[in-house]
Formats: sequence, C-alpha cells, structure tokens
Amino acid sequence: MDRIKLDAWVGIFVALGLIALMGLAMKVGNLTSNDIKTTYVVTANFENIGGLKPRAPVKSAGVVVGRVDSITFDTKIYEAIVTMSIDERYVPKRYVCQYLYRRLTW
Amino acid sequence: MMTFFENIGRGLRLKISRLGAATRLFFTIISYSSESFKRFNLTIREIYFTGVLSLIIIVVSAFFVGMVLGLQGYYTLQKYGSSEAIGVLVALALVRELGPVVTALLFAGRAGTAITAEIGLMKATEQLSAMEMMAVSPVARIVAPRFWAGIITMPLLASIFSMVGIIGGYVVAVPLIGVDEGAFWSQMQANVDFSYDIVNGFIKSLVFGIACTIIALFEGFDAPPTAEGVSRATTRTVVTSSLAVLGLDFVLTSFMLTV
Repeated sequence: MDRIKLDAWVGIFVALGLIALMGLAMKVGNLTSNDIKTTYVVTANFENIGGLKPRAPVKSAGVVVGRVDSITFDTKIYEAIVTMSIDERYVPKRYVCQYLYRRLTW
Repeated sequence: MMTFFENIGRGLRLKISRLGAATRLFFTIISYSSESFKRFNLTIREIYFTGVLSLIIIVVSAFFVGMVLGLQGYYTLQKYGSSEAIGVLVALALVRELGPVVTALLFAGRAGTAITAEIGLMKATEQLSAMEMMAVSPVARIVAPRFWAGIITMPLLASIFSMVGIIGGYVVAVPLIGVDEGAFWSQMQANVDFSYDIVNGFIKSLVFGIACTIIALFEGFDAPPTAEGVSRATTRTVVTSSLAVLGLDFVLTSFMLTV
C-alpha cells in the first residue's frame, strides 16, 4: 500500500475518533449546557439531605441555576450545610430556594 | 514433596523476572521514543494496521452491544415506569465501562495477537538479530512505533465504540420500541457529565491501551524462537491482556468513583 493511501486511511480513522469524542462531549454529555462562569455562593441548612450529592444541579422552577459545591455537617446545630454556586444571572430580589434536586432525579 | 515447593518457587521467580523484564522494555521504549517520532511514518503505518483495520469489528460489535443494552434496559426499566431513562442507562454504561473495556478486549484479540505473532516470528527468523548487526535498534525501529500506535489508537477506538453503541441503543429504543426521542437525548445530556464520565472513560481507555500494547510487545519480544513458542506467546498475550484490563478496570473505577 502506497504512502498517500495509508495517510488518507489513518487520517480518516483519526478524524472519526475525534468526531466520536466531540459527539460524546456535545450530544451525550453536558459540555454545551455547562456554561455557568460567574457564580455567587449560597448556603442552606437541611435536617436531612436525602441522597443529595456534590455537583447535583440546583433548580428553580425546574430550570438549572447552579450546582451543589459541598455538603458538610455542622456539629453546633446538628444539621447539614449545603454550599451551592448559583449563576450570577439569577441574582434574585427575594430568593426562594424551592427545590434541590438530586443528580439522578427528574 | 520438596520438588513441589521448588517448582512453585521457580515459577514465581520466573514470573517476577518476566515482570521486571517487561518494565525494562517499557523504559527502553520510552527512551527510544524520540527516534520513532522523528520517523513518524512508521507509527502511521502501525496505526493503519491496529486502528483502521480494527474499525469493522469495533463498529459492528459496538452497534450490537448498544442494541442489546437498549433492549435489556427497556425491559427492566419499564417495570418501574421509567423507560425514558433508557438513554441515560445506555450512555453511562457505554461511556464509563463497556466502551473502554470491550474495546480493550477486542483490541487485545485483534491487534495484540498480531503484534505478538509478528515480533515473535521476526525473532524466530532472526530478523531482529540482523537489525542489531546493522546497528539498527529493534526497539527503535520495530517496538516503539507499535507502542505509540497502540496508545494513539485505543482512546480513539473506545470513543468510536461508545458513540456507535449509543446510536445502536437509540435505534432500538426510539424507532423500534417507541421511547420519546426528546426524553432519550435530554435525559442523557442532563445526567452524563463531561469531566466526570467522559474524561474518566477516556483515561481508562488510555491506560488499557498502554497495558495491552506493552503486554503484546513484551510477549513477542520474549517468545522462544520456535513455532511452538510463538503460538504460546500469542495465547499468553490474550490471556494476560484480558486479565490486566479487567483488573485495572476495577482499580481505576475505585479511584474515580470517590463519592
């Protein structure tokens, strides 16, 4: 097999692989919707966090507005402290944190 | 009785010295890598043999794996009334586990055996000795290009496997079974995280690529220069690569899933 044909086939193969990787990132993963850049931090206390995990989406009226940063336990008030990063576009006048969805809840 | 323990000890010592020799080969390859990058057309030729010619088996098996995942997943999920989650199930199963692992197993069977047989036969016909006589290092000329070709090929093949598998799952779930198309893709996008799921799968396939290629190369290099020796080395390549992939998969997963 001559050199040019070989190069062409390998080029097609590498291009296919990169397209598949891009497809995974864009069509399958959440790279496109993950455009939250400037955030502000909100903390909330819960008696029970259920199955909440770090990186779970924070939703308001069903719209993703931020993500859970960390979950810690406060030994003074014996409650869970959930720290969330909320997109700066959604700075509310009177913020009502309605729902905290677990990562796999819809 | 004594010979029994002697045999165990001898076998263990042989295994350990083979592991040491494989590690030495690995570092020799690394040290000769700059020479093989200067003549990259050798590596491109090997990418053609290990990557392009493996495409058919990868694409066909990925499509069927995806279709089976779609069918089995739907059958179980509809019992719990959540058949829309089929997209998440197929995507997460493929991206995190099945893509890298099955690709590595197929790679070991399709490309790893070819590498071992080729190098073993080169050794048996004394081509490697002839190269050394001409002051051409066999590691730089033969082994290093195959090593880098394996490392470049494996993540690309795993990405293609995952993507084609997801398309296979889509074909079964949406047109054949009738799951809502919007729910299929949107729930997949909401629950598959780029840095958490896709990048980790990519890292896995990279590690499997290194493991499979180095095992195949070492078995070929270490094969006794007889017909029987080459055939045994080829068998050992498949067995060792498969076990290494499955073992490494558990170790890597336990590192990655720290939650």
